[in-house]
Amino acid sequence: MRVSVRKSILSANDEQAERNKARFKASQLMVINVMASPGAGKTSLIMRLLENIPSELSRGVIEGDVASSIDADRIAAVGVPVTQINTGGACHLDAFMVDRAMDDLKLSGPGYLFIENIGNLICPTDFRLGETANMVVASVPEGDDKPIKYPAIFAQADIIILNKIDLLPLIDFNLQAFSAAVRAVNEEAPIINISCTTGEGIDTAVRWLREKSMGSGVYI
Amino acid sequence: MHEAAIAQAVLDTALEALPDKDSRITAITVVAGVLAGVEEECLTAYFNELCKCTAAEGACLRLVIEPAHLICKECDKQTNYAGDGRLALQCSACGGFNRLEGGKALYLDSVEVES
Repeated sequence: MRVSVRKSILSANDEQAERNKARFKASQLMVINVMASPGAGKTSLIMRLLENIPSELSRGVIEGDVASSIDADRIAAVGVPVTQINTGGACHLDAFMVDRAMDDLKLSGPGYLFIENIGNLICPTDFRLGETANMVVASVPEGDDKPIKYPAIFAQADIIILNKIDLLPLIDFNLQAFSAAVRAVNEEAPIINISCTTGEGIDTAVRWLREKSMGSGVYI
Repeated sequence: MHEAAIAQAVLDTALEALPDKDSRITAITVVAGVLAGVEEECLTAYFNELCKCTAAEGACLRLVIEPAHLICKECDKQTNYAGDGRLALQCSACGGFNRLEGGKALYLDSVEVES
């Protein structure tokens, strides 16, 4: 006997993500799910953004890594509350892990929470966390064809950060080709060119955060 | 690698759909969009392990891949993107830029059940 089900496979995660979203909203937190390949500069970017958030706002970070607390130690060293999730091999964070991490972090707003997902351009795509915005970080040394090779993650980005633009003179990377590749899969997300090393473009990213938080009904 | 989590979710969703606790699942049909990034062999390997000692032990897992669509922003010409080959940035007819739509589905379509 055939039984029709037609139910989303990740509905348990999606439902938890909705609960997380309600929890974040009640705490007046704008939550950014930061996704990128390993080494694109997720932690460096988060640290640069944290530096530029006014001190009257709360700040927090959930660090996802397969192993180690290297990234969380970097965040803790600048005095920002941070919780480390070690997935022990799993390649993405899910909404349940974030819920447990929030119990540890005990962060309340108004302010910003950054969730650094596992370095991976494939697996985090399917798992919503309850975020206010998805931020995808690409970097110049990875090449300009990444949006074509990993369309799904770029398609769901609310903002795309291109990091390490200080390396443009050294690397064969075509900004126009990158932008055209992004636009094929995502017509709306702004692309912001930055360098965490020189600080170029960070102010534009911070401005985007502020505008997005207002548009999302999080009062910051 | 995320196929482990997806295989577990497929199994949980299928078991929830069982009409009664004495029935068994013999086949499961999953629909995945090409952008959902599900690799069939990998999903099946995890599923075949996870289903052991459940009412879905030995069930055949069928994966139906749904294509995404490339739609020309200029002339609206639509082509399927099945995930293989290079994603075409430009329309083959007029050279306009394409946008990518669909291909994100990930759901359990149906189960075959025997009592």
